Amino acid sequence: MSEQSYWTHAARTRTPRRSLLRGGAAAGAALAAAGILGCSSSNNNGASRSGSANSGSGAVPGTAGSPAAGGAAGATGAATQASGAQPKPGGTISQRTASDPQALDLHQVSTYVALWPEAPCYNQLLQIDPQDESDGKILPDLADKWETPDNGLTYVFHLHPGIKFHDGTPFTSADIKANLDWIKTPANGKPSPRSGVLAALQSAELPDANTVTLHLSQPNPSLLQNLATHYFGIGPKAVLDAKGDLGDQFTGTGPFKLKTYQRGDRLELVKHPGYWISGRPYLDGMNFYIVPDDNTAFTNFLGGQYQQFSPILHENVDRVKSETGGKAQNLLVPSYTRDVVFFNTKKKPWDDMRVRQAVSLVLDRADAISVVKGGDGEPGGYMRSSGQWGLPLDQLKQIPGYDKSNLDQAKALLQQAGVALPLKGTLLSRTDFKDDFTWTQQALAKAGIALDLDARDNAAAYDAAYKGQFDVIIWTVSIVLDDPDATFAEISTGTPKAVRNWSALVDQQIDDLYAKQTVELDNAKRKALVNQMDQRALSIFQTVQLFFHKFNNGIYNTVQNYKYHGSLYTNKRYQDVWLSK
Amino acid sequence: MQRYIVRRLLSLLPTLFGVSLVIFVVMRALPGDVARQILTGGGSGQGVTQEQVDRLRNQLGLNDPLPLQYWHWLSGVARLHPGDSLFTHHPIMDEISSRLPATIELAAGAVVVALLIAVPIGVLSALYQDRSIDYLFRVVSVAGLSLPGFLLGELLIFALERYFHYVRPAGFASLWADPRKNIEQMIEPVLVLGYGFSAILSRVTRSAMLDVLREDYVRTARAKGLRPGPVVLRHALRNALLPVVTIAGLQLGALLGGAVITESVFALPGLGRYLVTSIVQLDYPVTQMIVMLSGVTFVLLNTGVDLAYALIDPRIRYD
Amino acid sequence: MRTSGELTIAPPRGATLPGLGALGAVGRFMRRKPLGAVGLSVMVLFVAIALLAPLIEPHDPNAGVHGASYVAPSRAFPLGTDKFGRDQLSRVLYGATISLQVGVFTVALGVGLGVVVGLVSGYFGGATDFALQRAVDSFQSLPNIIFALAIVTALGRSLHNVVVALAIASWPGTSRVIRSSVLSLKQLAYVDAARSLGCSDARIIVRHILPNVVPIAIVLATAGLGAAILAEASLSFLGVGIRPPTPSWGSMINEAASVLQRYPYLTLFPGIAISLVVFAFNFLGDALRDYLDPRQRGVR
Repeated sequence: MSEQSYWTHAARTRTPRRSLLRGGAAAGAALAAAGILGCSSSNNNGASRSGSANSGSGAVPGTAGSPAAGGAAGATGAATQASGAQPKPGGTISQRTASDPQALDLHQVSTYVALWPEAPCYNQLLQIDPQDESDGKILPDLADKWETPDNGLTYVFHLHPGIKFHDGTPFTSADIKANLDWIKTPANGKPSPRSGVLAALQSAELPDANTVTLHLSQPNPSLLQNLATHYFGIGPKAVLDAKGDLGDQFTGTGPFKLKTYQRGDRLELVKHPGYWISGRPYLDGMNFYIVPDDNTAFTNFLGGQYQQFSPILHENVDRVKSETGGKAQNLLVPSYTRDVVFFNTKKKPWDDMRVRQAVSLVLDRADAISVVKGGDGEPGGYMRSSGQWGLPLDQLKQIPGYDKSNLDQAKALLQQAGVALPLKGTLLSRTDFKDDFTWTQQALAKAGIALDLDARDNAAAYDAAYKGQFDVIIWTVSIVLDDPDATFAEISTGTPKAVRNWSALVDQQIDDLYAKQTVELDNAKRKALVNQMDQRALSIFQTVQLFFHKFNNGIYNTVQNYKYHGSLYTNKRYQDVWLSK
Repeated sequence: MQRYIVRRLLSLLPTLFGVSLVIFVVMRALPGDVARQILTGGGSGQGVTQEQVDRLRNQLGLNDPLPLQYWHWLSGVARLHPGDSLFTHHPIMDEISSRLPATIELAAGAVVVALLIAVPIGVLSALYQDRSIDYLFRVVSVAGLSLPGFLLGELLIFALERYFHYVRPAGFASLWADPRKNIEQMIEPVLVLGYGFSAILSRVTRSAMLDVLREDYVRTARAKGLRPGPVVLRHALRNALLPVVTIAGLQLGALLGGAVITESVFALPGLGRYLVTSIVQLDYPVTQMIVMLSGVTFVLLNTGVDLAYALIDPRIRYD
Repeated sequence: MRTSGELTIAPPRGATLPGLGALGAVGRFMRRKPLGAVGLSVMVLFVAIALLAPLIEPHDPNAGVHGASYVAPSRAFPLGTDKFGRDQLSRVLYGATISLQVGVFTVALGVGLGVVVGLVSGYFGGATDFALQRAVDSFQSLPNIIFALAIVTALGRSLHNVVVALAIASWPGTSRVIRSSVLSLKQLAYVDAARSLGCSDARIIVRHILPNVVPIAIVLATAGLGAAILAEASLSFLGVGIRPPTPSWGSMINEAASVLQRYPYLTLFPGIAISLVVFAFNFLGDALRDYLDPRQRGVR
């Protein structure tokens, strides 16, 4: 599975303000009305803070009216629910990660092997609704409510009182400020892959111990959603001051704390009895076993050693039910991960748009999904068509190659462009994208584009990509959230360090549209801008977007109240998950 | 003899020097930028400015001239202070020592298993040379070497789960902490690895036994009517063991550098995996330290083997 | 290693490799050593397939047939197809070519270098020996993986680089074995005699020592061939084998292992191929060693 942080530090340009008052104030009012303040003493499933998602509290503009994420009928990430059953405390959920976390500090990491074990130990200012697989709905977390009195340039967060860190020290607004400051400007030599997310954050004020006011330099509609991701978990200011980062003890306010980290072997989390939401977590603990070999790990899952397992190969999906005697099932979940073909437009003939268009016409999207994923995929441009930001399918299909392939047309275009076949070059990719690059190389070869494959390990592959040592790249791009800022910052030069613009193509229209959409607080208008941008980038064949992945996730029936989201990185706290017997 | 020992131990120095040079050069020849890797938390390499990368490189001393870097590193190693891992900022010696138990257990266990399988097979094969039992044994022993190691391991794991619904317990337990769990976990990898090694050991045993059995004194004994009973066998075996010991020692030395395939397939937290990870991550100090330790171990082991050689066969003289 | 009676220490006839080209000798060999005969036959078959593969393969091994994903063994595709519709028979045949190249070149380089170093080191002794052995130690104490990973990562995943990586990993072991053999051969009576007759070092090495080292080298070579093919499989498991889509048997097994339960034929055929070849080379090596050993001439 590919790993990559999409967090860039896009600087937004100035645009006229938009009113967020409706959204924010309504959120605050709704929350107050629903009386969700304070720790719930009820043990009903979902009755505690995180449960009351229905009031629309804290919904980020942009989630209203979104098409149901995933769209496909049946088990699309829906949690196994013993409907009506009462949650029971107890039990441990074990999962597998493929390698050690690069760092034990949540703010420094960007891969799932680090995030999954670290996330359950923290809360954020806000959280993504565990029940919303599109990651759109925002709920209170450390902040009970928030408002924006001035149309999106200022946010006031009212923090829940009486929260303590795992070490017993009290949580206050100073901690929020310290964490955000660190993320934006990390200590020397330490990575902070999300610093760009806070580019618009100018300052944080602390009117009192339970209030934080954030001042932005421009409206930033993506900000709240980003603040709700696990990467913005809040640790103690004291630790940040003393150690220069969050340290290695996972000290947070979250439902779990670190019990053991055995290097190369496992991480064990244990329930935090003093968690500020009473009655949670239900689980006694969570284990993450580090198992490098996929086949061994899958066999272990079938043998019951892990309660959940991802991703499962399409070919092995049937085995989940049959080899566990029906005790586990497979859930097919749409994601935001997509396969992309990049061109080195600094080299001939890839600077000629006709050549790139030819490639789009050669690569049959449906065949790619069928062969590479066994059918577990769906179409999209830069954003997933079935997601809330994607181009509608009928629009997408207008662009050459996105509907059907056309080998003759492609050859004609190549001829027009004066390209002599066979066209040679290098196809760069990463070793774990085996199926993707095998298919791509073959498909291109059929049209006379005979590329040599150069598949390298992570560091070497990125190195070659940034240095332009390729003609074509086939890559699997995964992002944390379905956020246009993240996806398009990569190709907009308006952002100061537009990285992963491996195609090195700049376009004024895209830049203008990006600048507009990044500050557009009205959801419908923003979507229109995003669609235009998507359309434009696709039409100049800056890249060729192949398809969006759907992932197969195995889960034992005993796991209750867990919903798989489209992102690999969200809904990982397991606060309300419980095990039936 | 004593001079010999001292000389061999002294020979550690040039060997280690050679090793250090080789590994230092090799690591720096690898493409990719460790500073960029660190700054992106192992991720995409994006979201990071060139100046940040350069600043970190300076901090890590990566922009110093290579000979200077080499000297700094070497002097650190000599004091057994190789520093911290570039990625985890955890002391390297801690990281390595936490992975030693699994490595040593796997290596020692595999060699023991290999000997237990190989010596009887080799001896019997030699005694009944070219008869059907010889063929049978040879087929069985080569079988251990005829499939890629990872496949044998994965097949075993798969078969045990599929047909017996058995998976090894998760989470490595050290021998001291939980002997039962540890043994249960180590049986499969030790057997698989040991079986693979037994193939070459059994051939060496067989070959050496054959040589010894042709010796005059053996032939004389047989001509006198002594069947290949225990006396002759013991005598012959003692001589035949020389090359076996050599090879077994070499294997042990190699395994102490970590058996990455077995460790990966069986999820053992050993040095082999750690070494590969450090190479892929370009975590120079870690790779270099593991390799240096591996070098020391290897030379010490070889010296031991050669000494054992001299003990077993008094005709072998070192001067 | 041992000073035996005069009967058994005579150097091989003519001090040349006995009759390896002569069919008569081959025939005798096959009669005497049936297991070796099997090994020889398989080896010949293997080499033939490897050389003829481009002519006999029914499909392009790297071109997938559209819509023929995961076809079970059938008339159209005798060994089935994989995920991309690639004919497995063609891939296994082509894989023979690749494996043969990997094996032969690795062994040629590794054993060749090992023999040279072992000979020089063992015969001349002294400072030369010391220096060479330190070099051998240095290389041998480095975990094999390092070379493979480093060379292939830095220089690219070509067959050429894989061969170099594997050869570097294997030559120290060979040189040690050769050296210890030379050490004992050096003390034999006829060597002393030759030297006292004024024969040059080179002549002694080539005419008297080398021929006696050849049987061991052959055993090492035949074992090494199989080992090299297997080692390439391990490299592809680690992600640094020969670059795809080139089908080496090892990489085919590696890819097919994840769908073993569902499509066992994908693992079975390359697995059988590798096993057969490794078995064959091992038996051949053993038989050759037995056959060529001067001490064994009179026995059986």
